[in-house]
Amino acid sequence: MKKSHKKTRNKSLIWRQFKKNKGAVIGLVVFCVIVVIAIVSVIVFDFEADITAVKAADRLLPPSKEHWFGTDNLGRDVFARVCYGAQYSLLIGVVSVIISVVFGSLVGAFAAFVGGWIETVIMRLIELLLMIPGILLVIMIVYTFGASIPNLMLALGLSTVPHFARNARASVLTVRNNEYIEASRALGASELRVLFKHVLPNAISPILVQATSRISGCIISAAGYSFLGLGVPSPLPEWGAMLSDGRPFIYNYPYLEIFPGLAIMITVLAINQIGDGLRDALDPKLKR
Amino acid sequence: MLKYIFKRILILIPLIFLVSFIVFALMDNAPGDPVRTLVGENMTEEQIEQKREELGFNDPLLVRYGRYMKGIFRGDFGKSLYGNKDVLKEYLFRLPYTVKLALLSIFFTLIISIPTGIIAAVKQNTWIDAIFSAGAIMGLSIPGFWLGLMLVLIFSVKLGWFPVYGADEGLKSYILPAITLGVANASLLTRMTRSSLLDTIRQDYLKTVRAKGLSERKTILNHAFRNALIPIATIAGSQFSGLLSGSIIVENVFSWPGIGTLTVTAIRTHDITLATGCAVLTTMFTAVTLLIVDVLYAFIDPRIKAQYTGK
Repeated sequence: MKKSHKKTRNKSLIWRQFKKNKGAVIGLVVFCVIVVIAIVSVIVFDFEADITAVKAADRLLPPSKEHWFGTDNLGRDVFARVCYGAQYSLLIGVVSVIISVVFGSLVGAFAAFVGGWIETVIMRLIELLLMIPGILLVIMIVYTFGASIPNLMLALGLSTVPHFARNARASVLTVRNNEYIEASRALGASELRVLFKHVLPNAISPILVQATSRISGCIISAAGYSFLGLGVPSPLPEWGAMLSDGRPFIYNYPYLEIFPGLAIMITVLAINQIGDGLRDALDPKLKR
Repeated sequence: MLKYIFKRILILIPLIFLVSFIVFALMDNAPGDPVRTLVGENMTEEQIEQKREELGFNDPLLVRYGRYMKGIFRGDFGKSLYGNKDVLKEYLFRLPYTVKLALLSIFFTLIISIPTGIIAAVKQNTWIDAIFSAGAIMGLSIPGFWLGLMLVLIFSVKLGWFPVYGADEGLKSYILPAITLGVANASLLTRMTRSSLLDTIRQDYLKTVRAKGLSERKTILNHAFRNALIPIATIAGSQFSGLLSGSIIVENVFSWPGIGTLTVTAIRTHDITLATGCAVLTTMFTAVTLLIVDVLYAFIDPRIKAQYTGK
């Protein structure tokens, strides 16, 4: 009973800190709006009729009252496609980071926990993997297994597992040396209980901050890979894929390139603001 | 110090084995048949099969990998499937374009981010700080390749100041791609410079410096900044090595004749030897650059140097 009381107080403290950062609050509001747009457009738009169907009569119309963002070279409404595309970027960003966090934390926490030569071997391997440029790994994985959303998520997620593993190990090691861990050991808690009850919850905030900033990184990278044709395949209105489709028309129909790009930028900006706010709120030591 | 450099070079050997195995195994499962590409369309199945046997494509993965590694250590990365060019030669021909671009880009990054970072820190919590910080977070949020497209649209297509693509017009062709690659790095470095300087400003020895009556300007530039420089140099160094592989997508936007475009073309045309070679060479090259950067730190930071020589 006492414990849960303390937990809620802690949470409201974080929230109060977060609220002080105006940029972070605006970021959170914008992010929520984007999530709502993503959900609503799945309900409102029909994938076949509104998103992928070719309408030859409406080719390359400039922005107007009927088509807010104009239409593309196949007569598809750019506004509908940009809204519909929100779900892909959000999903790819979140799922690939979850993959990195889960695997990375498990590997890193395991290494820190077992110690000895196993830890040395794991960390050496991680050091080596860190030296392989992530962008090359992603491109090779997606190319080999085919350009699709799940493959892109997996590739993006796996390519940053070593980063998260290293961080997770570092924060577990820091936490493990604290006196309250020693205290709970002294009280007779088992090693596993210590790891899951005390070490991981306290090591989680740096991991969380890293994860938030990684989500925006993943969204930008995913769009870049789709732009190269090594990400989300073209008829799907993912923002990077739309930029790739519109590229041959950039000189005469620049709006085809402007709106999807702005969509990426606003989404990433919102998440970066949230990340900054979280960092300040979770780690008062970093606050300036 | 020498011992440390030697150790770092030794790490490169398992790295080469690991990265080439990962790439080799992945490429082995990749779509496309290298032998069919090599011999052309108008050959019978039997002839293709014969050629496959001849080239050793029927051997198990590990045997082929061993043969490939043997080649690598003799400097033989094979020949590209298209055009039958030497992979290493082709790569080394493209490399200077990427390196020059990375150097120019990191130069842009430094001349923009260090002054803005210092000003933001000195004027902490004023409107100047707010504007610079907002600019930095904007810069971090722009997808590089999209920024490149927009810059081309404005400065090349509309204003005609710079070439639209390629590297044929000397320094002029370098400016837009270098800025494009530099914006995100400059934004990050501005933030780093600011926070690193704010950290040092609070140290006690700066109070001493001020107490003995040094001007604020000299305090910041001669004492605070020099100490804040170490984390800044660390980030800039890793940004530089990151540019060598990270410019792949931006190179594509500008049709830049560097290693990024070479890698993507190799992948798109299913040229497995060229793609594998590019991946292995880029990884090695990035690792060597990082090693050089790390050694250079020792010269900026006497504490690091002492660590190596002390042992």
